[in-house]
Amino acid sequence: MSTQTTASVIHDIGYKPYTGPRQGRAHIVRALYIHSVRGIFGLGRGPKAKIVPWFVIAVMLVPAALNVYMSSTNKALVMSYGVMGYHLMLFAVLFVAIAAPELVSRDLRHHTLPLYFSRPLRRGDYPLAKMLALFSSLLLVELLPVLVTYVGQIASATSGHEIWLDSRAAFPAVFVAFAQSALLSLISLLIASTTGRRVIATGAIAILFLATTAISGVLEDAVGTTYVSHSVSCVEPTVNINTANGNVYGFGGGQSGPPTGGVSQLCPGVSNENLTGVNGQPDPNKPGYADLTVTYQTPVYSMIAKAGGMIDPVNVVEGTKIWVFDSTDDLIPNPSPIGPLYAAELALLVVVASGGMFLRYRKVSVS
Amino acid sequence: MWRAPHPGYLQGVSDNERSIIEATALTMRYRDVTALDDLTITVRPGITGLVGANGAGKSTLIKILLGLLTPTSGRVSVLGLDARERGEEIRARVGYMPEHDCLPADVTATEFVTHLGRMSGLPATAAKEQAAEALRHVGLHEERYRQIGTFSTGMKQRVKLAQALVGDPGLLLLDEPTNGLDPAGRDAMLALIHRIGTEFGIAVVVASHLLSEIERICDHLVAIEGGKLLRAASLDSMTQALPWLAVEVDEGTELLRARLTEQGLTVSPQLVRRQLLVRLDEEPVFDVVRDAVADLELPLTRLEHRRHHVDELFAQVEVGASAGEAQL
Repeated sequence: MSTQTTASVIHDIGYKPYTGPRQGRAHIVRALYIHSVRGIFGLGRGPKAKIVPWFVIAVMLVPAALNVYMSSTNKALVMSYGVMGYHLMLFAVLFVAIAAPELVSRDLRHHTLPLYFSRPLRRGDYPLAKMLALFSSLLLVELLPVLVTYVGQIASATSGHEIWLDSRAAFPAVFVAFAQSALLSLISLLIASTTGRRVIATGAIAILFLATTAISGVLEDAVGTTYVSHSVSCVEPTVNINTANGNVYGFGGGQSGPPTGGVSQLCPGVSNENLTGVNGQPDPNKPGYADLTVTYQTPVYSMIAKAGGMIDPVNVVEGTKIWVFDSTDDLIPNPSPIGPLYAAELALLVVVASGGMFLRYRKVSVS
Repeated sequence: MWRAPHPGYLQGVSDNERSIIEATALTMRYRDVTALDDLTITVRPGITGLVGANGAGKSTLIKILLGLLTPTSGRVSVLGLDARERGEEIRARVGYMPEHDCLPADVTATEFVTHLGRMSGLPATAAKEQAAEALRHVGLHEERYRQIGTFSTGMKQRVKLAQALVGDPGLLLLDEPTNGLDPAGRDAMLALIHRIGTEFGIAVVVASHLLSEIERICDHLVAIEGGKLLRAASLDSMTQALPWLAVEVDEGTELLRARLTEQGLTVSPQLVRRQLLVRLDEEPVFDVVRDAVADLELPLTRLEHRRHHVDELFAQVEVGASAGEAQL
C-alpha cells in the first residue's frame, strides 16, 4: 500500500513473515540463563544496577591483590585460602541479597511469569535457569580471590613441590566456594520467590544469613567452651641476619622473649590467640639461639558449640570442609565427631532449597 | 455443529477451510468444578471472537489451547498440533496476550520485546529485528527506547500485543485486549487487531466479555457459557449491511410501527427498546420513514442502516428460537 502525494511517497512496507530459524527449548533456557546472569551483574542496565555486584567484586579482589603482592615478596598471605570463604561471606550475602530479588521478585512484581509460561519453556525451566544463573555468578565471584591468589602463588613458586603444596591448600577453598555459592544462591532465591517486593526479599535474605551467623557465633563462643593449657618449647634464632645483632628480642632487658605476635612464626602449631605466656633463655648448647617456652590454651568445645554451626549455612559449609579435608583454621569449632552431620545438612539444604524452587513454580498460573 | 436458523444471515462455518483450532468434546473438570463441558469448536483463519462472561471458561480454554492444562477428556489441536502432547511446539507458534498487566516498568519496550522474542525461540539477532518490527506494527516505533513505566495504558496494551506478535506467530490469543482503554484507545486497538487479522494473515482469537466491541472486527464468533458452547457463527454475511433500517424514537414506537406497516413496509419488533427494524425493499423506505416520523412529530434519535448486532444473536437463545427467527 502506498499513499502518493505530489511532494513525497510514503511506503508502508507492511508485514513480513519471519522465515528464519527457530530454536528449541534448550536454547531458550540458555538464553534465559544468559539474560539472568547479565541482570545479576547489571550488564545492559543502568549504573544503579551495577553498584552492588561490582562493589562486591572489587572487595573480593582486595585480599587477592594483597596476596599476590605478598607471595611475590615471599611473605605469608594476608588472607589464607582457608579463611577466604568465611571472612568474605558478608559480601557474598550482600551479593545474593541484591541479585536474588532482581532475578525472581521482579517477575513476580510485574506479573511477567505468564509471558514466560505461555512460551515453549516448561515450568521447571524457569527456576532452573535462575538457580544456575545465581549459582554460577556467585561462584565466579567467590572463586575470584582464590584463583587470583593461586595464580600469584604459582607465578612466584620456586619449585614443583611448592606448587603442589599450594594447590593442596587452595583446594578446600574451591570446595567452600562451590558449596557456599550453592547454598547461598538457592536459599536466597527460594526466599525471594515468595514475594514480589524486592526490598522485603533483600531484607529477609540479609537477616536470615546474618542472624543465623550471629546465633551460631554465640553458641560457639559463649556456650560451654573451656580451655586446656599447653606448654611447648621451641628454639628460635637470636641473631639478626641483617644487623648481626645477637640479641634480637632483648633478653634480660625486661622482656623475656619475642613479642607475642611473632610466636606463631617461630613455634609451629602455636596460634597467637589464647597465649598465656612466653619465656625465653639463651640456648646454652646452641650459640645464637634461644629456647622458648610458650604456654597457650586451646579451647575444648562442648557439643552445643560444635552443633551450633549447623544453624548457619555458612558454618555448615565450613564444618563440612573441616570434616572432608580434615583441616581447621580455627574459624569455627572442629565439629568432629559430628562432621558427617554437617555434610548431610549441606546436601539436604541444597536439595530442599532447589526442590522448593521447582515446587514454587509448578503451579504458577498464566492468566 | 451448530445449525444456522436462517441461511441468509447466519452461516455455519464451512469445513473446506484449514482449521486453526479444533476442539472436540472438550471437558475440563477440576475437583468439584466443571470448567469446560463437552465443548466442540472449530476456529478457522481470520479473526474469531471468543465471548463469554467472567468464569465462562475462557481462561481454561486458553490454557488448554496453550498445552498448559491437560483436559479431562476430549481432543484438541492447535495449528494442527495435538495440544496434549505437543504443547511446547504450539507455544512456540502461538502469541498470547494476557488480560492482566504483565509489563516490567524499568526496561525499554525494545529490550522487553526482544527478550520475549528470544524466549519464543528466536536467535539473538533475529529477536532484535523482530522486536523492532513488532513494535513498529503496533505503532510504538518512536517510543521503543523509552522505559515501559512511562507509557500510557494504551501504549502498554500495545507493548503486550507486540510481545505476542514477535516472531510471527501462526495464531494470536488475545485475552481482553481492550481492557482499561478509553473509547479512542479501544477503537485504535480494535483497528490494530483487525489489521493483524486481515493484512498480516495471522489467525486471531479475541476473548472478551464485551460482545458489542469485538463483533466489529470478528469474522467468526464463539460464545461459551458455563463451559458449554452457546453458539458459534460466522459473521461473513454480517460484515455487509443488512437490508434493515433501524429507527429509534424516544416515544411513540407503537404509533410509528402502525403507521409504517400501514404504508406497506415490513416492520420487525426490536429487542432494544424504542427501536424498530424496517426492511429495506426497493421502495423509497427512507423517505417513507422520514415522512412518517415528521407527520407523527416523534422525537427521532437514530436512523441507521443496520448491520446486524450480534448480542441479539446470542440473546435469541434465551428468547427462544422462533422469536429469533421472526426477528431476523
